[in-house]
Amino acid sequence: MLRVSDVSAGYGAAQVLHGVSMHVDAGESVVLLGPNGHGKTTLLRVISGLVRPSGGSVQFEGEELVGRKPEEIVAAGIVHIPQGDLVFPMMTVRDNLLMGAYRRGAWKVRKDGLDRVYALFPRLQERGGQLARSLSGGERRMLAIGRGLMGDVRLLIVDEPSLGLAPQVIEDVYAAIKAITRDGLSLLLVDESANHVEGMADRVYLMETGEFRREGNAAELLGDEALLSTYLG
Amino acid sequence: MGQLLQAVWGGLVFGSVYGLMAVGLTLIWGSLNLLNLAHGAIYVAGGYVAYTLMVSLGFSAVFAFAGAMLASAALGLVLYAVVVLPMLGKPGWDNASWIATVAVSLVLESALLLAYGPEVRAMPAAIEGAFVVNDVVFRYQAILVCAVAVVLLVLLHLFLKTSRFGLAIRAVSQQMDASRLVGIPVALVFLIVMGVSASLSGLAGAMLTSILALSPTAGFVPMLKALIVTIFGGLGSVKGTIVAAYVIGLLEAFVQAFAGVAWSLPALFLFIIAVLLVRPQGLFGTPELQRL
Amino acid sequence: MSAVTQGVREREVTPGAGPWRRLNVGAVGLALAAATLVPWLLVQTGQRFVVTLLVTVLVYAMVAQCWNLVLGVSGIFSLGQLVMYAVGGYASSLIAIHLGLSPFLAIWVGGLAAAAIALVIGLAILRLRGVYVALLTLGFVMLLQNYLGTGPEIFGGFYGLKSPGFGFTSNPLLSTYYLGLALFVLTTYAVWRIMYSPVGTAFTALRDSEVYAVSRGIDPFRFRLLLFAYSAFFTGVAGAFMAHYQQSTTPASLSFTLLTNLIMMIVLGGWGTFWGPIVGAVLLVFLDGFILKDISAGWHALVLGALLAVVVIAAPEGIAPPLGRFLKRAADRFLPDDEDEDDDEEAEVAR
Repeated sequence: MLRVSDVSAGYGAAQVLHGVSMHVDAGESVVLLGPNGHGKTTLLRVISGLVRPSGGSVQFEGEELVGRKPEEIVAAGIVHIPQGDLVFPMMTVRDNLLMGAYRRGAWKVRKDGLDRVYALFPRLQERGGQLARSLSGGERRMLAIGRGLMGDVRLLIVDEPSLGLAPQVIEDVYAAIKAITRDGLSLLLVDESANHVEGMADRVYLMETGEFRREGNAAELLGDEALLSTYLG
Repeated sequence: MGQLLQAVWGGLVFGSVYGLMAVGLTLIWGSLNLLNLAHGAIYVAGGYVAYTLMVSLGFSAVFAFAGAMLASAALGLVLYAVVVLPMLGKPGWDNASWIATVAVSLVLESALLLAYGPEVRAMPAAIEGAFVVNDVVFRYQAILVCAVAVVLLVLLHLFLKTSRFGLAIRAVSQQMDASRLVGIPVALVFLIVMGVSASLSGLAGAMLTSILALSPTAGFVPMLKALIVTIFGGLGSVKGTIVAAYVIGLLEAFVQAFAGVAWSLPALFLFIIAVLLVRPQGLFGTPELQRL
Repeated sequence: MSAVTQGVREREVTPGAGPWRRLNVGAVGLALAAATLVPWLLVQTGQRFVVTLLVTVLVYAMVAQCWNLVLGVSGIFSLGQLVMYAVGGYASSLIAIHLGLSPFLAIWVGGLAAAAIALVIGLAILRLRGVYVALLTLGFVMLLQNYLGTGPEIFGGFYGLKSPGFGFTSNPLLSTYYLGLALFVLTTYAVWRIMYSPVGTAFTALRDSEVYAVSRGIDPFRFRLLLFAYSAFFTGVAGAFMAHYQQSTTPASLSFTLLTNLIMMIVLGGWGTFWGPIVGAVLLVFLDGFILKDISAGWHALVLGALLAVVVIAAPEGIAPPLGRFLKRAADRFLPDDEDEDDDEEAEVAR
């Protein structure tokens, strides 16, 4: 479904990715693990068109994505939920969600989208009229995820959903992501630690200094304590 | 009492026009982080286009206003192509961008000077005449200006609050990356914002120059007042800008009525200096977030 | 610290390691000799007009350098430099008129008055963010212009003040030029000191990343206030010099045209660079004095506006840095080894 081949990228003179290749198959949940600052987020930004790679190709269902604008990539069904709380702070929760349905097709059925997201995160419905900046950290994360689900998603990309959240909230967020992927949605998830992803990943990539060091079956890799501690500390 | 009411009415008229101009400045500031100092030149260009259509070519006022809006929207797009496209996202945008708009405004104003000469022109009113109630003179032109401005500001407010594209404009101004990731075509949003804001300024120019005067540099003072309005309203807040426009308009009208015309700009500056010392984020601006 | 350890330390600093550097005595001497002799030759050959242009260059270069320090080096969005310029002119003229102080001394009072006003304005605006500063400083310019034109009689209204001249008896133009040159050298040295010292680095740090600078112990407000007043002093001196040279001080010293012209000098020359404002002042004054002398006001503004637009958009670093690189290349080719060090410096400075 998604095939990243030999992608290199960086910011100015600083090369961050050194020819990485990976793939996500239809219906699969893939997790990228690696310490902070080693290129995971950059790879995601390349996939969603925010960063132009200096080399390599990204194909989604056989179509080249490199050189496409972010809005065209969203139109193809790739939804990237970025790191941190990138919500629209001075808009209401409801308007934030509606922006997730910006694409014309999704806009027509935005009511259904809202129902779907509210069913998943009842908290967001309660807070529907509040400004997004008044939400707690966990609620913002849910809002960012919910906003991503408003359109026609085929591949969901989530960048460090656990970042900066309390343990209890992290569990809620991961439970929600699990619930979403149960309907056969493909998932590409990035995390710093292996703690939360057990039981939801099919395959795992270990990333270090802009390259993939290991790739493999989730059960196998996540079970290997020695390996994990080598790469993730 | 008559003088007071006359001042209130004058304030509403001024406020309406400042609102039209200031909303454009706010939109551009909010979404592009650009202080557009060519706004005044576009205002004047709108005035001259309307003047040409009405006086030289004999079209009706409606055509003249529509022509002014179209022409200044086109200028906004030119500004986008010339200034924004080559510079946006490059280092130094904060400073270089407003200087570039000063340059564009110099070019535009001097082109108008070459085309029309330095003399002050009298722009005819769209509707002549006036009526008097309790010693207060209501000129039809002033009523028209007020009505058109209020309708447009309300429409703009609704557009930004409820429509798909309006929400997208606000989204872009608040979180650019997130906007890209939900599929908002950011470049198109910028283009539309520049076009809409320029066309509102052009319309303000077409309408107000029949009350004030039309000359190549006549846009500078209205632009300054619009800037004061924008900052008073809290840079980037559309609602705040509209409220601020009427407050500033009323203030100016009172100063003019009771202290003389020469005092209106100094008084407004003193006012905004005082406001910013007390409340640096303006009326409706939020301290940590100076956006739409 | 003993002289020995100091000597050792100095040798350890590799050229280009820090942005502060030593003055190159040879190059400065050469430039000063040229600045002294050329106008004398010009007067001898009857080119008095060029010398009057040079005086204007000196004054505007002083103001532009000071403004560049505020705008380009420390990133304060101030449009108010002309306030200090006008205050310098008015204060010096008033003191000379009413207290009979010699203009040679009065210009320093003008500088001090400008610095004092800058402290007051700075206290009010320097805690605010960029655009607010721009609008408020522009507001101060317009308020002052309005006040001087319509306010108390002592300021002489729109016709301003008849400032006493310097009273040079022999060769007044050349003498005025040399006085201006001395003030220009002083200002330039002051600006150089700020830009190429640890203090200057602090300002650049503040401009580029306030958070980082603050975390390194730089108090942004105090630093900016200091710089604001410092640059105001020399701007005030320039304004005072101009007043006594032209023997008149009017509210036109706060005009929007002058304001845009000065910004143009800074931007055309090279925003935030040491040579930029100087190169820009030379360029613009001579452009005005020769090439654009006989065209109408409309074309004049059109050409300058277009030039500004092209430079800002297509060559945002301005003219001085590429010029510096060009000179360095030329010097490398024609003057191998010996002069190399100077040119390195020139190119680096221009950067």
